[in-house]
Amino acid sequence: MLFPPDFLTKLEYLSIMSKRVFRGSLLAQRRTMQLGSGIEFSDHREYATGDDLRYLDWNVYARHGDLLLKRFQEEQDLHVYLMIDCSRSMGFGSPPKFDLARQLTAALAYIALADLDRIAVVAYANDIISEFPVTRGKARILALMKYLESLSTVGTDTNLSKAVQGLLHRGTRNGLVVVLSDLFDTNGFSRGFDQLRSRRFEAHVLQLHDPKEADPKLLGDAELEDVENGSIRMVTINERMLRRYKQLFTDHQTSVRDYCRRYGLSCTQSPSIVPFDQLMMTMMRSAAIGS
Amino acid sequence: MTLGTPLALLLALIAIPIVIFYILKVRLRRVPVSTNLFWSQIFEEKPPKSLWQNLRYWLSLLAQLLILALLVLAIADPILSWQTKGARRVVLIMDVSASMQAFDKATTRFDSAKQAAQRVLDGVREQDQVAILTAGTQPEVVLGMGNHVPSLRRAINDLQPVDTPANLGSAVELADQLLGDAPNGQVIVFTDQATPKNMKPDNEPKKATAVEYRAFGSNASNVGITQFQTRRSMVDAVGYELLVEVRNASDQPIQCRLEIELDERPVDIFPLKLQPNETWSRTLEKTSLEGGALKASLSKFETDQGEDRSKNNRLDVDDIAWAILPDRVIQPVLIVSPGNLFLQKVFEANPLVRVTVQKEIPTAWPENTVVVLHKLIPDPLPSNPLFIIDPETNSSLFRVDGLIDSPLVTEQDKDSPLMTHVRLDNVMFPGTKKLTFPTQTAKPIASCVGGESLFATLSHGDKKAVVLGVNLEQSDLAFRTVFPILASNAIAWFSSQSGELSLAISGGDTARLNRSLSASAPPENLWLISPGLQVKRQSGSTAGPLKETGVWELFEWDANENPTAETLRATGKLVDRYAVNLASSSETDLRNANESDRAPMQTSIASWFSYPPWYYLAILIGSLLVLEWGMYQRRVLA
Repeated sequence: MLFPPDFLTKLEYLSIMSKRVFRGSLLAQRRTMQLGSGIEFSDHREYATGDDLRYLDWNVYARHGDLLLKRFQEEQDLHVYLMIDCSRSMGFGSPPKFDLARQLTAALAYIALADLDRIAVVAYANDIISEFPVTRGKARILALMKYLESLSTVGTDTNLSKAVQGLLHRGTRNGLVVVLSDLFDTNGFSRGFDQLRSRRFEAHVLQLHDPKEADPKLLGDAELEDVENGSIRMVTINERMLRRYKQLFTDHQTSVRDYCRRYGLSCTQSPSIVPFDQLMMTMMRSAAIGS
Repeated sequence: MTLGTPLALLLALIAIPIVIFYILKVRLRRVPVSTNLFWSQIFEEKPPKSLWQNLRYWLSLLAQLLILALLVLAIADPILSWQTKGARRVVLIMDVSASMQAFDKATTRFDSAKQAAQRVLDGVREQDQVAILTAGTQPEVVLGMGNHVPSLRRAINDLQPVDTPANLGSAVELADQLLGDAPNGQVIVFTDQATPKNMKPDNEPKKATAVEYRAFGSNASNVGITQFQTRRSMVDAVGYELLVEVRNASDQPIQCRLEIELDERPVDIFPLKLQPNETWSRTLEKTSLEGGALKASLSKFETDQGEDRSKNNRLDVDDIAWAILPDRVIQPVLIVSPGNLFLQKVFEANPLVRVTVQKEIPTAWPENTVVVLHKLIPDPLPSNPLFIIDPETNSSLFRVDGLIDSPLVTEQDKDSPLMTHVRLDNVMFPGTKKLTFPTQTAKPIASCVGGESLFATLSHGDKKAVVLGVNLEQSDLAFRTVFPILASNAIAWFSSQSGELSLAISGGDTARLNRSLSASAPPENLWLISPGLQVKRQSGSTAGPLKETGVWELFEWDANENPTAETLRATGKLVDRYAVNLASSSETDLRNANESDRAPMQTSIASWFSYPPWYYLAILIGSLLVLEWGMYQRRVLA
């Protein structure tokens, strides 16, 4: 069962823990970079004709005779986009990575909704397959869980870049983008994140893998069937090749970490056998240490 | 080709499940992976050889089927036609003669021969049959025809040379008999005597058997005693004669010393200067009442300038020789005579005789005494050895029928020991009694014209008797020199002593036991001690063959358990001794083996293909298994 009966209880617990750990600084109640009709003062600017006289700083005018307009930092609710990889490679493993990804999506969405943020879920494979529209309020969590349960692994390829492109073309408002994927993207994972960064989205990476992917127990002749595109490769695997495979896998993981570190993205890499609540706690603790 | 176990071919049916399982197994296991991203990178770096990948499955199947086929064939035990046709019967003759003990370099010739024989055994094939003979004085079969190489090797290793001459001819003849009519027979002789060119044995095999001689040894120098004999003197009762012969079997002159001892007491010493190939021979006359073991030994081999030349003496066994000098026993003699001084003095002149004279017939007769009855004849006759001269009355052994008319001796037994150095032909003996012998055991020694016996030997119970009918007073026999000789011969005849040559035995010969000894002592009580102190029970009327030089001792000992040499010498009764010498010029001369003529060493029996076919099949199976194992590792475990 993807969402067991005590799942919501766990989500509530995580939500409380998130407030204690992050002191409200993780998702919701965040200041935006936009100036507007907020409460907190930001700076001054010269008055221009047509400006609202309510914001004129009369104290400054009285002392210095300068007409300066007071500017306030506008407080907005945060838009959180949860991009979940639905490619067939996510269905690999025991338990499948896809299950953990969906549970994590639900957990992150719950925490965000609890903090009055807006969330949207984008399911993608070689393109956006489906999406759960932007919504707010904790009451929507059940609908989201139902949506997540309805998702399945599809597609013949993974293309994060195309999915991000689709997301951006929808005129999406800036916000936080959490990508839950194994990042086995034949087109390269970095292009998608580059697009997000260029559009001033704050990206988070949650990379999952199955232990068998890190350390396959394969030797001898075999037909390797790519579950994503169904391609078959007849190979003879020896110890040397196995060592080379492990090296390539480790390099891939390292490249993801290096990319995130280089561009200031948060990155969590985990095997799929870790329970979602445990992983969430780990993420929160590492984020608290980082902040 | 025939098969030893044809039923094993049924095992070939195992090929069916092998093929079936192989076809089922040939489909690769399909392994789902989340992505081929990394595998593609790996194989782009080193693309797999698809042709080999496909081919190796069939090669593997082929290897497995081949392994099965070879295995089935090996179990079926194939016998190829060339195996049966090419089976050889080989007889190895090892020369174990004394000269094989000679050191040429670091090893003896015999050790070199054994090594060569072992090398020949390296090439023995399973179908070959090999026998081992030794060639001493008499050839001996050490191991009959067989092909168990470890046993053959053990037999070769256990062989030891003996102190005997070699009789290669007899050995080759025996080998020929062993080979029989079988084809591919071969005789290989390991010797230091023969080379194919110039040293053929006396008797070549009668059949067309190939005989190969393999000679060992260099052109070594040697000096040795080739003859050493002794005998008691014929004329001197306490004297004895020695015959000694020394040969310098080298191409250089040499000096040495010949020492002769009697029971470790020096008898004589001769400094010898021997020219190349010279044989020094002497007959020596010595005196000794007591007998004993005579020992002749060579020592101090030097050049004229006094340099040590021990290296010119490569063989030790012929440097010492032995001979047995018999003891002289004092014989008591009782003369019963009315009085004849000549008769008394004749016996008294013999140093081996202790004389007692009685003028009347005694009432009791001493034991172990030769009784000389002159004229007086007691009734009954005593149970002693009797020498009866000129009897006047009849007895149980003879009857006196007056006098012989013409007492001229015309006939005498020259071969009788009593007549040694005695000639009575054409001698007149007046007053000689005419004797007739009722017993069948009477043997005339000298007879007159009319056929009357003048001198005869008789059996007297278990004792001997001699009757001489000559009247000592009327004839001149007492004045003749033959009379003391005749008396001496008679005494020697009575005591079984003789002056005949007592031969020392050549190594490997047998010694004939004393007839009286073999009759008196039970065979199981006779024990022989070798010079090397080995003890063995004597059986039969001959001792030996005696293959070790030195003095062999025969003891009588009646305990049940096997005695040691010390026990026998301490408690046994020494009954006889035999001197055994090498005494062989051919063995002393070590220069027989001519290196330039020596046949090159060959491995006359093939080293290759010496094992049965299944052996090679097993090797092939092993090789294929290794190949298949490698392919399995690549295919399944990579």
